[in-house]
Amino acid sequence: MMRSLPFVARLLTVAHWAMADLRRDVAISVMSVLLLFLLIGPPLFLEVLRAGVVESWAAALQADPRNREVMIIGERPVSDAEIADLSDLPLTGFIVPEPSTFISTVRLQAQGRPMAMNMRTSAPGDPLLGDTPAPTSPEQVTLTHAAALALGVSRGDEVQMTLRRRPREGPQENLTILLRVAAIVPQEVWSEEVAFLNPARAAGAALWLQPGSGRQNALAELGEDVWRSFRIYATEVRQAPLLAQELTRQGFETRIASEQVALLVNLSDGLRSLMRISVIGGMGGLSVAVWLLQVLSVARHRREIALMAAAGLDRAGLITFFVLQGLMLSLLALLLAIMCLFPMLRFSNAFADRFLQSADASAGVDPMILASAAAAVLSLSLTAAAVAAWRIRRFDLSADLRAD
Amino acid sequence: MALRVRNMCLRRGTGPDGFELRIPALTLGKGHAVALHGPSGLGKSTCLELLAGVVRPDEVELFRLDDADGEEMDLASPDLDTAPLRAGPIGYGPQSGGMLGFLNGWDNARASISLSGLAGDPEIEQRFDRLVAHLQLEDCLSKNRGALSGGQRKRVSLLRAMALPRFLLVLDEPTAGLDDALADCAVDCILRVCRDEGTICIAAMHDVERAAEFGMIPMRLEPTAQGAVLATVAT
Repeated sequence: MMRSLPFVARLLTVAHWAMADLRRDVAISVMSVLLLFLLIGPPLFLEVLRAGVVESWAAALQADPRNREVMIIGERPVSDAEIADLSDLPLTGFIVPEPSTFISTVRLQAQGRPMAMNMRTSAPGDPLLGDTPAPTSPEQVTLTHAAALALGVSRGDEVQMTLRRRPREGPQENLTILLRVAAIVPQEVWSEEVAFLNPARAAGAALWLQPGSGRQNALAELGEDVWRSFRIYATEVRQAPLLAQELTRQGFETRIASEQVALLVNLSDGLRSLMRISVIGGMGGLSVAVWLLQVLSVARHRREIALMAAAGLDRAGLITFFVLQGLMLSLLALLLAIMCLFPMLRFSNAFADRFLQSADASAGVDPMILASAAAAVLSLSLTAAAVAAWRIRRFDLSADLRAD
Repeated sequence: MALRVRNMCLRRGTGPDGFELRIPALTLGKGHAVALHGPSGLGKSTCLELLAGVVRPDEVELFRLDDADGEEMDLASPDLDTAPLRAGPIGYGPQSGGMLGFLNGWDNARASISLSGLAGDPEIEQRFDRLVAHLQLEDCLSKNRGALSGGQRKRVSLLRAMALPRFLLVLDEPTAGLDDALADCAVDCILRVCRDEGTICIAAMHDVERAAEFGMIPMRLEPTAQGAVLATVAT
């Protein structure tokens, strides 16, 4: 009959007793869970929000090639040699030359009326096109999805580019150039109506359009002095300011969008530091709260501790009783925090959509954050509850048994 | 089975307010049932707590519990964790209340069975059912402590102490708060366990006559200048 107590039976019994005690004092249990929830919930929500909204937004902005662009303000003649030199800069990710006054003077037509179309030059490797092929010959055009839809064409169809010029003397002259649609840029890559032309075709058209131009064709030859600007992108967002500095040094007036991105990245870094403090504070508060709750619980249960010991529960079992209670309360608080997380995230995503107008700013829940939070909550609760219950060792069971 | 104690001493406080409880010699054999009596406040409960291992003696020369096969348990060791013994060979019923408030009667009565991992054992379960019937607790066990009378709580506490077959049963006033019929029923139940299973029982009893009627051996706690001493019992 003399035997060591089976560990599992004892643990299950203690767990049953611990839960029964929490159910009996349901009001105290609920208030304890709410208290712990108030300590766990806000840091968890802010951390998820930071990781979900701010960082994903910053990452999306960093990934957006437009934020790598160094915009050239104004125009001046740019030679092919200069373009080649700029292309060779280690900071340069992509460059394509552009002729002057080109965009507003071109009309495209496929079916129906001719329509004015934003025109840009492009070349292989253009980050604006994503994986869509750029026009590799003067006879090709790459259209955005919106442009293709407006013109009613698809890949392989022909469109007419109509140029009009009025010589100083004589009637208006029209030139119609047939272009074949080489590719269509998906809507998610570029949502506006834009047609991308091979630089030689764009430059030729610009030369043809110049007042008094006697040119008969709309195709520029190599070495012709036609470039007035260029579209240039740094290799990474953070290189854009350096590239802008280099271009300024070479006499170009520039502007970059990446300053805003840098601000956001700095904001994200700042929030991360703030969150670290908030998480440390929250976890410290949780530890103290669990410790205090279990100290109070131990004090309230002195008589029952003595009775459990009289029934055969050893000190380790008694400490386990309070540790399990601390863990259960913390787990319930954590579950409550996670349950509240999703509606709060829906609200914050709606907020981001409404005010930030960025589809990339929608926050999701990173399972790693939840796993880390669960691990931290459980380990801290376990430690705090064990420390609180440790004082049972000093209790006078004989005196407590008579305190009925 | 045998319980042997020699020169056990417990001290509380010092000087004129100090208290000393001495057990010079106590030897009880298989099936012996002893009724401890003495003036109120002299230390009967403390004496029982000493024997049940709830409190540890300051001095002890011999404190040994032998099982039916003669295997000895040395209870004198100061490092011994005695709590698990109360979910095994030693059954203890405290004087007052004795029910855990967060458990119903059933879970209270089966605390030792649950802790020992013997729940579901057919012999243990049948024995438990017999004790429930004997103590007339069939209709009480599903109730919480608040719904039970003092007498019902006392019997639930008694049932918990006896729920497992024990070597030693230490009971503090097991008939307190019970009417005569139920007190007879409780004492009869205790003595039947002692007789049938050879359990040694030490119970504090105010009602010495009732104990004697049932054949329990009287054992008196005598006052001394320093506290109390347990008189040698003749078995």
